[in-house]
Amino acid sequence: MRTYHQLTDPDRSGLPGQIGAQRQRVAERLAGVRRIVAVMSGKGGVGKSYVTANVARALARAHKPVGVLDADLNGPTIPGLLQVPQTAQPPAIGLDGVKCISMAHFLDQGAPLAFKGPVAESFVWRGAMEAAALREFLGDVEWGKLDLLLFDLPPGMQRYIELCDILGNPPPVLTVTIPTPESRDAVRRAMRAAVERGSALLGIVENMVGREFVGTAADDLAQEFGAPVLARIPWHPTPDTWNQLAAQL
Amino acid sequence: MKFLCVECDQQMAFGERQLPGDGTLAATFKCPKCDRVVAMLTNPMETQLVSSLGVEIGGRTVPAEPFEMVRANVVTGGGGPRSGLLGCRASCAAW
Repeated sequence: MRTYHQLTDPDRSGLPGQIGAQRQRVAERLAGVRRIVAVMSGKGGVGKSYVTANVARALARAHKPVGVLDADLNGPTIPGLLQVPQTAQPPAIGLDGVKCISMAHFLDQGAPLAFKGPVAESFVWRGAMEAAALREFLGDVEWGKLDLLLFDLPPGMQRYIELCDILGNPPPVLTVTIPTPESRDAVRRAMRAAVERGSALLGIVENMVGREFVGTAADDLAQEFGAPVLARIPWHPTPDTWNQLAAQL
Repeated sequence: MKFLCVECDQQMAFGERQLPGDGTLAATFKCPKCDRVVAMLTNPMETQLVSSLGVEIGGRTVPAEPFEMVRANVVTGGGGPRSGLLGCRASCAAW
């Protein structure tokens, strides 16, 4: 009996062609985007979204068109941080003119992300649905000309891996940590995964510096990975704090 | 996924697709040599996986709409200020 690759008749479904068209659509949508940066940590609660939103605002204030793709589909916070109106349609325009797309645009206030489909053993398909949503965010938003598109990644590495697959190239990453050894250890795993995928490490941002969180996470990671510490963000940063960080990107 | 008529050693050709509305999918394939027809039946989980890929079994007859998968599959939460996906659909058309 012949095997799969030995059957070479044309496929009316044209599935490879449909997948190729999806990739082409993403490439066309991002053609006007000069740079892409993924903001990641691998750990929750370190302030990735906060850093992302404020860096984007600082760049926008410097008259650079910026967009943010909120890739945290289950816990979208970018629209709130950018004060996007509830009824805004993507790409919404937030504070200082930052454009954004978020799953929050498709959900009622406070509603969790849920997909229609069989409830039992939904883990089988839910991850694929989330990856498809990310692909649509990349392929269906008319960003126009952007100097920088920031991806606000959720904790963990799954969304980063999906992003690499959809883009076809691993994006440069900006890493966020807090000073503690626990954060350092979690972020280290994420940085290793990013390096293994081929992402360039733009640098490390140490957030929530100067109070309860004690440690040398940023310096440790910088030494280990040869990446610069771009900023140490205090608990009450000023616009100038963000301007200085944004100027390094 | 491809289908082989073992008896004829022929790749079977896609015939038609049916979506009964219960989350399942049926697609028929026909042997070009002996005309034997088989049906592939997927359960709701399998159908959902295909849906998540954003592809159409049997080929697309119309281009994908913006946010097609999200709009079709995300439960918005109902009744809140962002429940108006019809409004989104209308404005998406211009994106």
